[in-house]
Amino acid sequence: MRPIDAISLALGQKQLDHICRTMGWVMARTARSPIFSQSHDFSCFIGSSAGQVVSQADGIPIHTGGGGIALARLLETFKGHINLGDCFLANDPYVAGGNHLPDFTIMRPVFLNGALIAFTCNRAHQSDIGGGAAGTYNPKAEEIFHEGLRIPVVKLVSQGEVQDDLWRLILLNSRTPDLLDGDLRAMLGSTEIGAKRLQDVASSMGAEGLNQLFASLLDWAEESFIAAIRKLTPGIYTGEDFFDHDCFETVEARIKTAITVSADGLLVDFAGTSPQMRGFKNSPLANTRSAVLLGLISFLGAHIPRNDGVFRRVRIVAPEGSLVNAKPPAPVTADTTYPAHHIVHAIWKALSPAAPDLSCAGWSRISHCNTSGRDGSGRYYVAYQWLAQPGTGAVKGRDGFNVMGQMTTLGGLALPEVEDFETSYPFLVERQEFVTDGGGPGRYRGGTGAEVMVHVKHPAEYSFRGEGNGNPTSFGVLGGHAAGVGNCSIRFEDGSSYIPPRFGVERQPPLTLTIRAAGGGGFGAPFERPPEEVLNDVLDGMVSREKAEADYGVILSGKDLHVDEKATRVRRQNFKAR
Amino acid sequence: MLIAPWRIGIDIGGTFTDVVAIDANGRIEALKSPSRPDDPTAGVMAALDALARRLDVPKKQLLGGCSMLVHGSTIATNTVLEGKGAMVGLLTTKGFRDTLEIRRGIREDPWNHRPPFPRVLVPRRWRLPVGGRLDRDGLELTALNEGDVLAGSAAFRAAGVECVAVSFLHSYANGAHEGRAMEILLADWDRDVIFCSHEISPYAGEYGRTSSTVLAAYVSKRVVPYLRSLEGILRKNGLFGPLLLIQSNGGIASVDEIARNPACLLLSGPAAQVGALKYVAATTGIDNLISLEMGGTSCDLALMEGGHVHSTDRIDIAGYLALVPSVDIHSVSAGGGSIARLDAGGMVTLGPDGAGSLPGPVCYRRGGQDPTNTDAQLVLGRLAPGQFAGGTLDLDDQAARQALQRVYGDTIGLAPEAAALGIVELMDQNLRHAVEHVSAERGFDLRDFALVAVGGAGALHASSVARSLGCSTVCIPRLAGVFCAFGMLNSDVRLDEVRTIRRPFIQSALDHFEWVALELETGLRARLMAYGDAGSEPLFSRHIDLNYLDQQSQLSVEWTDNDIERIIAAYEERYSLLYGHAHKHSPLMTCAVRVSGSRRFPGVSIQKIPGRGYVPPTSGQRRIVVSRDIGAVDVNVYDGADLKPGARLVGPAIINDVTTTIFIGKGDRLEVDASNNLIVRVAVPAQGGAV
Repeated sequence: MRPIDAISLALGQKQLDHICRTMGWVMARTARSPIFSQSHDFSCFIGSSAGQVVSQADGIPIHTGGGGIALARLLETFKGHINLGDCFLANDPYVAGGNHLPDFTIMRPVFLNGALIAFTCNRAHQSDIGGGAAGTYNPKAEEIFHEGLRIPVVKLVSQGEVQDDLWRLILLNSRTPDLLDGDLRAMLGSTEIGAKRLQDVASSMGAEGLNQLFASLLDWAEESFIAAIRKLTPGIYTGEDFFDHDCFETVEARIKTAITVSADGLLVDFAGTSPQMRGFKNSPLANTRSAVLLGLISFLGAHIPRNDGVFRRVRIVAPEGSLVNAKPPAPVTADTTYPAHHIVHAIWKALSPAAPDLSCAGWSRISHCNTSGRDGSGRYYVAYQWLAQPGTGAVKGRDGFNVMGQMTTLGGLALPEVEDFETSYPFLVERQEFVTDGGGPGRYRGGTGAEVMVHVKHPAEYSFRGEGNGNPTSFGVLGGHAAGVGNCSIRFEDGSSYIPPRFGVERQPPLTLTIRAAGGGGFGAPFERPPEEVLNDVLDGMVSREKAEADYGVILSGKDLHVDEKATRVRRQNFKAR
Repeated sequence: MLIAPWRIGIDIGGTFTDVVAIDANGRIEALKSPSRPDDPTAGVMAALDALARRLDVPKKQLLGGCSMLVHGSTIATNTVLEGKGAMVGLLTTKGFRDTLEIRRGIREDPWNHRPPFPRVLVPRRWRLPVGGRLDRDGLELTALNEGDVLAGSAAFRAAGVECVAVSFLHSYANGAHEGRAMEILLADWDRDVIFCSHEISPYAGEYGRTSSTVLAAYVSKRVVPYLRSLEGILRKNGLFGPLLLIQSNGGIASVDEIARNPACLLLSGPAAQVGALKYVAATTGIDNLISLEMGGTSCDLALMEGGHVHSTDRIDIAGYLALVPSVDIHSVSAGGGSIARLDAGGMVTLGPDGAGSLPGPVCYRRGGQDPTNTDAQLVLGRLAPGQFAGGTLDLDDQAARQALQRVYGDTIGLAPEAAALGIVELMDQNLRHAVEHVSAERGFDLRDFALVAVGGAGALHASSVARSLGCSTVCIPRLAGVFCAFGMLNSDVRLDEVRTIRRPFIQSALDHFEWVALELETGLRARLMAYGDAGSEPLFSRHIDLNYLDQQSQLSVEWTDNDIERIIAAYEERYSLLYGHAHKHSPLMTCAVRVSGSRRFPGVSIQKIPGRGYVPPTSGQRRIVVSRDIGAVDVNVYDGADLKPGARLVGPAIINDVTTTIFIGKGDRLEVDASNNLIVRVAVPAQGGAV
């Protein structure tokens, strides 16, 4: 029996979510960097006095699992020294529950009548934190020390007084101190508003009432999660995804998982996962925990609450020193994209037989690069070639999305418009269209991926990260096929062409870049796709006539292209007979 | 008998068509008549017949004496919702024919990745490429390939395409390529079925502009013939003046204007809140208002600040984006029909899905099984069992109680009354968060605002919502149930023009904008003169959209003279209100220049009857659950007809008015003002409640 009734629980849950969103509004409004006001790369959450995340309505999926670890480190470090008006800061993934160094977390204790009752928190990706490359991503990093400033849990504000010495130390370590200064103040402001709102709630129900609400919310999440788990077929399921490059050279590395599904919960065991690697695609535990939650909830359903109650029923076993439980000084900054993507894939593959209808086909990894340099007026810019996003995998009832942002945000990232892109950067975009035959065939077809051509008018630096350009990185489910691989090529103004390396940084004269991002995997056997849908894909140029025949067994005939039903039936039967 | 000339407003909703007439003396007649979704013209004529019968005049005379007939129609929106628009062909810049379907990759709820995007309105095979390219300043890089336009036109013809949309890159900066394509197309197509993006939606950003243009083309097939035919029939039946429509921007416009850009009809009904809120402001003297128009499925909120209703350029219709000047309406899925459930973790949930009007709430006894907000109100006694909605429904409280018992009593032992109170509290909370979204989130202090409760269900919740927000006044206009139809009669002709111009905001640029504005005003003046002698001389207002370098969001500030310091100060003030700080000394960029032209009509004036304070008679008492603290007590019930100007009463109480039921809590004081509005002075606790 829960300490509070189902109505108070519902009202309390909605109110806490509302407070998280309010913190988000304040952050988006008051931060200096566009990464917050426009891309919303931050998450606001509320923790209990014991450090459990109880509400996290505002934010991005990959931030979801790490907050509790950061709060636990705070409570260990500052036990007995947490006072009214204090505010704590941390970023380190090894000692302070961070995802990676660019994500700063502000944690503000909330008091009622002198007693600690909760924390209001904000985790946000800063524009620059020092390290070996501007803009926080340094693909050449071989140690975390190459990636920027490491901050354990520190008391940034003590009883209302900002610790100026600490503040100056942090700003001195950034290439963009003005942005960091404004953004840190916005983070403090947002958690302050959150704390005030939470105090209003607490003063109407009392500290004990709030505690009971928190406890009930954790129970509620746990029970919702268990109800979803019990719809899976019990058993032990395995899945894995691979790396073929560590940013320096070709490697063979993999993330393996064995998931034990029982009526009481899940055991996610990463035994057999490769050791941590030289490049920055290693995941410390807090990030792994987030990625696991992302994989589970995206598979089980968005209705499952995302608080620490879920983790009571998920046990994660991650070998020390492996890709999913990296140890210092391994570099980690890429972890929120890759290997998070790999972890989600391994989980999706593993769980598919446990609930076939919920199966998710794989999303391809990126093929695009970043371009930086000076425009005609001498202004410095850094541009992500985001127009060229890959396709996503299909699920039951829908084809993959053809062009969509990355797995980290479950596609929550908005692509720029070409007209804005051309206004912001010295580029002329010549093409952004779907790739014919780009999607993995299936009853539900994978997304096609985008082909993008961009003319860069001035000499510039290119940071290549062709994750999707080696082996196919998507996968099909239940008989669906994987999509192909992406590629990136260059044509210089003299007409000569060049295939750039998959990873690396190069300086180049003006050129035209062609990026062909890979598609997503298919769901179900392609021969099950109704011939009319295949015909439509051919008429729309999404699938070629040849592939319609070869992959889908649909024979088209006539000048107007119609389905030859008899030939199609025969071909599909022959295929099944084989 | 009405005294000529009168005005008539007709608002077609999903179930009912609302008609309001107001005569030269300010006398009002209002009624509801069943809608005819299959034949909206017949629905309008039936409503006019009903009005003529009520007034006992021949329809010819009713229309003949009408100086202004304003129509709000959901036909554009319904065309989108039902997927019954035109077969559209789209000409795009070569290399970019998938812009419409990529949708910038945006999904509203990242976690829920299983639902597909809404069906693309133009399949890929009818999105055809045209060579030719402009750069970001509108300068030509490659000439238009006229052969591609001809080939596209021929392909569209052969395929049976009905309307053609043209959207080329950077056409907001230079419409010449689109204009030339249109000239070529005119050889094969009527002007009425060609839509160019630089005319429909002249904003930077090719996805929004293309989507808007396609929507305009898509809905035109049903919208334009309907309006032309309706206008003809009304003329034949005696209407002398033009048929006027409420546009998304809250102003009225002629059928010809709508035919130019049918996307401007997408928010036609709710946009009439502008006129209605202006009326509330004029009669109550309160010009900071937030409307809460709540019906069976959703609640629409709009904010009026200092007499101006906030506007936006961005509306979303069932997942389709349109960039056209519009009233800023925040719509939440919260209505009488919102369904209450118990989730797998044992929590009570409410909405966002609803039971609609069919099957509707359980208590309607039309087959609804899931308990709803209306069922909860009935179990609490705030709605009375028996006749409802003018006798069209018979509410069954036992059925509602049983449904609550089944969902909550038999599962977690929560009694129907307790569950009902919880459901209503959840709805109040949902509405409170929606109000905060349109106000507090934008920097406004709710203590400076009054809520306007309208629609069938708004007044059941507004007092509780206001109390929890620390907002001390709720206005309930007497015509709350036909609020938008009434608002149509209090609207002006309004046409908007916007020119996207991206350059540094400096004095020389501002001087240049003067010429741009004059050019836009000249064009608008000619269009405004088409409204004959009706209304005032054309009036113009100008705004400039600005942002800081590298920002994407922008703010619009009024531009009355060329004093650049004054404009910058106004921008910074606005920016600070919204964002808490301004980046003084940061360079400002111009985003757009806007001109609005209007022809004003004298506002609706209702005869004021200053009443002396009196205590109205009750029509009885009923046991209702007032709140968690107070529980169930007997409260006074009043009949709205007994509440004349000057009436004063104190809550808790229930008032049954013709089109709505009003609930006021303990200590709330209701009075009827001289204009017959019901004003609730909410008893706000010293500290606003939280949960």
